[in-house]
Amino acid sequence: MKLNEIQDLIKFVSKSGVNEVELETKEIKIVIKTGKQNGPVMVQAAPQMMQAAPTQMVTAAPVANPTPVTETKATPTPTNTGADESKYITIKSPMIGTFYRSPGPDKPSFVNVGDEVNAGKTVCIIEAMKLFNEIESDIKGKIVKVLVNDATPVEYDQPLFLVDPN
Amino acid sequence: MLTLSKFALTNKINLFGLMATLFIGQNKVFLPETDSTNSYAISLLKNVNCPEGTVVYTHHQTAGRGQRGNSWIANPSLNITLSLVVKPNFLAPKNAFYLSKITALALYDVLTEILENSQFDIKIKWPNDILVNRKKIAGVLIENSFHEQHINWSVIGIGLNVMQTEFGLLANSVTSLSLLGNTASNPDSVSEKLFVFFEKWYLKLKQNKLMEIDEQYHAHLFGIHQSMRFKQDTEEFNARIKGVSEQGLLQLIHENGEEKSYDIKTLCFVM
Repeated sequence: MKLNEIQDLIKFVSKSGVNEVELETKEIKIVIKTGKQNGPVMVQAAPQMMQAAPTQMVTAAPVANPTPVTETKATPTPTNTGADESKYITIKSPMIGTFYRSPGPDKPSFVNVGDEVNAGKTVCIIEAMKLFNEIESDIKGKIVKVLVNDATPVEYDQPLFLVDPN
Repeated sequence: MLTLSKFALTNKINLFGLMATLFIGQNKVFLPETDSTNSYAISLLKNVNCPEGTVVYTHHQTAGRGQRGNSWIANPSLNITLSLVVKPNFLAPKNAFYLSKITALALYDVLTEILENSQFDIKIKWPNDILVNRKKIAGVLIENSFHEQHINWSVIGIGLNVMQTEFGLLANSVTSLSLLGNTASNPDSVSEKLFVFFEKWYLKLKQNKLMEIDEQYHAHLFGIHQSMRFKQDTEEFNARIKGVSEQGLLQLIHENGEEKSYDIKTLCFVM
């Protein structure tokens, strides 16, 4: 684990409001205790005397760079809803399921009309057979229209949002 | 005698520690208390990332979630409440339901190994609950993240009743390993087994052995080829279970011979 990853973890734990987190990998064991809710964060890191792992594969995969996500190319969508919408891009459903705009009942929507979204921003959940699928935007832009009502069924490839990429 | 049995026990644990898994459970995050291990795992993925196989577990889940709006209640330290992080980028979105199938099969294998005796009827209830003698012992809640039409990551939340013996109003429909007479198991020992079996099935999925997964899932499916009672909206009816489709729909043959597939949102078992 790299130093900056440990720092990120400490920040994350101290923000999350839990009192104690224990993280154990092949190389290292970290205990992070937060004193009070806003108190200082203590870290005890102890290198572990572990037997050599039988194969190289056993070691955990390196933690990827936490900064999200590479810029991605957008799919221009032919729309027949008028000329001024042709510059907009759609976010489509990757599956059949039920469309939800919020993470749960009584929770605020992931995005609303007028919101700026980046690639990697969660815009909705499609629930399919008890699988809850967070759908991320693969484009940067402003939400101009939500094309589906909350808690209604959607088809594969159905457009969900109109996004203005400018 | 004492020394010998102590030695044997230690030896077994060491062996297990070495042999257990390649990646599932190699990276563990323990939370003494959390609202939901799934939510925490998702925050980890979004804020600091974490490697495939990471397990987030707790002894006290205060707001565990079942299907949207339902809750999962577990007593502190008695049961398994954990989330597995995997990154099945190889899996086509249309095959996402196979994550449900392999999780159910891993739980089936764990329980089959622990409850050796044939008096236990262990079944997978569509889509992925586990029943022992028609009572629920385990439940699964899976949350995936999609980006550019493929799966970024999947957080597989698993609740399994181990040592809890009081279920109050649910006593008629819920059970635990202790209630089934297995008092030797504890949440940690069962979790270790679960990691092994989950990894086995996950690697089969990675190798695209969908047919084998389907065969095994159907072989242990509660009510398959039998006439069962169902409820849709307010109407109850009998139908025979033909199977579960690739997308996870329950395929029924009605008494008039008509075949129809059902979504979990519209159909429930009348038990």
